[in-house]
Amino acid sequence: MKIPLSSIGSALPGHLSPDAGFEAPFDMLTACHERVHRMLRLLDRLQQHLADKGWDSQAADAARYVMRYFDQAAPLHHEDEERHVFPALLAQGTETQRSVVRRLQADHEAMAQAWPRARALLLGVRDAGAREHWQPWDAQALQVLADFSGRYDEHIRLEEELVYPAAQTVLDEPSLSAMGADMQQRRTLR
Amino acid sequence: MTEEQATALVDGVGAPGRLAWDARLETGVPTIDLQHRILFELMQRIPSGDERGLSPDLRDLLLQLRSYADYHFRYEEDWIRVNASTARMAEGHQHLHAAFAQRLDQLEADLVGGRLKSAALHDFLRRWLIDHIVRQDLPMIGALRQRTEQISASR
Repeated sequence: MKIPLSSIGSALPGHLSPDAGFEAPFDMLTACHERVHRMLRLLDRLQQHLADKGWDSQAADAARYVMRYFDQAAPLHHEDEERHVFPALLAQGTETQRSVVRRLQADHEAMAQAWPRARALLLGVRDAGAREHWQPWDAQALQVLADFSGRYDEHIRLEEELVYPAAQTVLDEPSLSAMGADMQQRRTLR
Repeated sequence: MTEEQATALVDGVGAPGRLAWDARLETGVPTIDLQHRILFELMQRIPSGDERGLSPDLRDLLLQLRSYADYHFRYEEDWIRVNASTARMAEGHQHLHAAFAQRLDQLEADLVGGRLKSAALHDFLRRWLIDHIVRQDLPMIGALRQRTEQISASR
């Protein structure tokens, strides 16, 4: 199976979706989710590729792209929510909304804890250098990757269906502008 | 961390000059560390000069700081509650956070009344946050993390 690396250019950190800009910060956040899904699909394809064909330079490139996304862009996205979305809803949301936010906060913590283990596996692929240096992933390694990627689906669904719409009702126009400006500035500074 | 090391860290990070985040203040709990860093950034924007009174900008900054501190305190207290073996740890920490809010109320009133310079407020915030992270958060959260990891490893 070929890993279509050419299709992921816009998923890389710093590459913005043409449909979303910082003047619409929640569209940006949703566009980030699209990229997360794309990176997780790439991670799935990478596992399949390694199982079918073993290590090659294409696998190393795929590992590099996934690592780069979760090293750089994903933390910025969590930080956007920690700065602007969660505080607003915890302060002004309903009890149900507050309880969902607390669950999402716990998810962020679990994702941050799970990433180094998944990253170490990807680093092995990226740096194998040659087919004979590649140690195929065992069941435990595959479980580590499944644990990492399995944390996202429900998390993203809750954010898009419940939390983002609710947060947009409690944030006024100046707050949304400040949020977009801050998101842009933090990405420019890096 | 010994008392001497804690004092050196508080004095080092809190030394006069531009306040900068220091990796030695990290507890190892990513969300708590991120929130501490955001509090640092908000604090950096409080003027450290001789202004008296509460300008609209300063009022807005204090509002943001207070609101984010409140958000962070709740998160940290919940984290301690979930990870500690007794409720007393979280309650003790909650008291410290409440005392901070009271002291900030008082300083803000003094600032409004012209009895305080913004530099004094800046100093209080700077010293309190660094001291609190070094002497309270780091040892407590570090010990709780270690305990949670040991429990997970033994399963």
